[in-house]
Amino acid sequence: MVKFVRSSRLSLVLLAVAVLLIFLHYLGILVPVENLLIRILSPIQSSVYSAGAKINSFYTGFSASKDLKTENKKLQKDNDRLAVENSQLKTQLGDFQQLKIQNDFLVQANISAITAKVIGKNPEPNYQAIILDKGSNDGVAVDLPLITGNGLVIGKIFRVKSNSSEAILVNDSRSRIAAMVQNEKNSKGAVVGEHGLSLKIEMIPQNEAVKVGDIVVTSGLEPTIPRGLIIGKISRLVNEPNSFFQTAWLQSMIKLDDLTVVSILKNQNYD
Amino acid sequence: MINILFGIISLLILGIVQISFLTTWPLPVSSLNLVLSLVIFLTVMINYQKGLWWALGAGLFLELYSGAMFGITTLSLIMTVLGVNFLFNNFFTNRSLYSLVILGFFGSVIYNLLILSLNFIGVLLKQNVYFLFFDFWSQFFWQPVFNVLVLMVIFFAYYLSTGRLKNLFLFPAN
Repeated sequence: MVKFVRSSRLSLVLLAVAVLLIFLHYLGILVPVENLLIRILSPIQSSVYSAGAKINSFYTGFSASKDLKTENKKLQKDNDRLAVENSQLKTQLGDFQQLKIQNDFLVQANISAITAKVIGKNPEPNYQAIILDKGSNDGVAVDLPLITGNGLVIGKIFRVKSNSSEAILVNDSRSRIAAMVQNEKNSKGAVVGEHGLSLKIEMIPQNEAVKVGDIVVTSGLEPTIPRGLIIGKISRLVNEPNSFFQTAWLQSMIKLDDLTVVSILKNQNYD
Repeated sequence: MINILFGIISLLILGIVQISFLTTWPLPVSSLNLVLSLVIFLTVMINYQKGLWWALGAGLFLELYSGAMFGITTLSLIMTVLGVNFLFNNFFTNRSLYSLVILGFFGSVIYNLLILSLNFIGVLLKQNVYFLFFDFWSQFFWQPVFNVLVLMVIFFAYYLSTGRLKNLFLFPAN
C-alpha cells in the first residue's frame, strides 16, 4: 500500500514537473537552456548522423548490389533463352530459305523430290556421309541423288532403312558420279571425292579443251540422276603428257558441312 | 550522484542514437523507438519509478528535436509508463520475457495512440503543429514489432550479463 501511494505520488510529481517544464517552455524561459544543450550536442549528433548515413548507404548499396545481381542473373537467363530462340529461329529461317530455293528449282525443272532433314553424320572419320530422316517408307531408295539449293548435287543415297537413310557425299573417296564439263564438247568424265576434302573429275580425254572456271554438271548417264545438275566449278587442271586422260580439281559451290535440309530426287524416267 | 550522472549521460546517448542514428535508416527500421523500448523495459523489468524518471528525461530531450507541439512526447511517454504499469500490476503475474513482449507491444500501441490523440488536440487548439504524422503500418505494426525485438535483445543482454535470467521467471509481480 505504502509502495502504491509512493508510486502514485511520484507519478503525480513527475507529471507536474513535466507540465511545469512545458509551461516554462511556452513562456520562453527554457529556450536558452534548450539552445545551449542543442549547441553542445550538435557536433556529436553530426558525427553520429554521418556514421548512420554511411552505414545506411553501405547497406543500401549492398542491398542494391544484391538486387542488381538478381536482376543480372535474370537478364542473363533471359539472354540465354533469347539466344537459344534466336539460334533456333535462324536455323529455321536458313532451312526455310534452303527449302524455298530447292523447291523453286524442282518446280522449274519439273522434278519430284523428297525433302529430308539432316539428322546426323556418320561418325567414322573417313566417311563423308550424312544421315537423313527419310527412309524406304517415304520412297527413298539406294543411288537416288541428293541436291540442295539451286540444283547442286551433293551426294547419293547408299543405305536405306525404313525411316532413315544414309547418303554418301560427293567429296567422299568412294563417291562416283557420271559428269560432264560444260565446254564446247561437253567432255564426259567421272567426279570422285578426295578424302572428304575436295572433288576431282577424272577420265577427261586429253584432246578435249577444258579450262579453269568451267562448270561440271551431271551427265545423265546414270539412270537415277538427271542430266545438268551442277556439281562444281573447275579450279585446277592437271595434264600429264604420258596419260590418256586429264584430271581437273573442282570447287564445290556449297559448304557440304553446313547442310541441314536436302532434296532426294525421286526415281523417274529421265529419258 | 554518480548514478544520476550516469543516467543522464546514458539518456543523452540514447536520445542521440534515436535522433541522429536511427532516423538515417529507411522505413520500417527507422520507426523503431529505442527510447520507448528502454522506458518500457525499465518500467516492467527494473523499477516503475526509474521508468517514470527516464520517461520525463528522455521525453524532454526528444522534445528539443520534435516537430510536434512541445510536451506531447514527454506526456505521452509518462502516460505510457503509467498505462504499462497499470497493465503489469493488474494483468500479469511475474517479470517474465512473455510479460515484457506483450507489454512492449501494447506499450508501443498506447504511446502512438497518445501521440496521435495529443497531436489532434493540438490541432483543435490551433497550436503550431508542424505535422500530423499518421502511418498505420509504421506506427501500429512495425514500431511495436521492432520495439518488441529490441526489448527481447535488451532482456537477454541484461539478464545474461547479470546472471539473473532464471530467477526472473519466478519473481512475482510488484
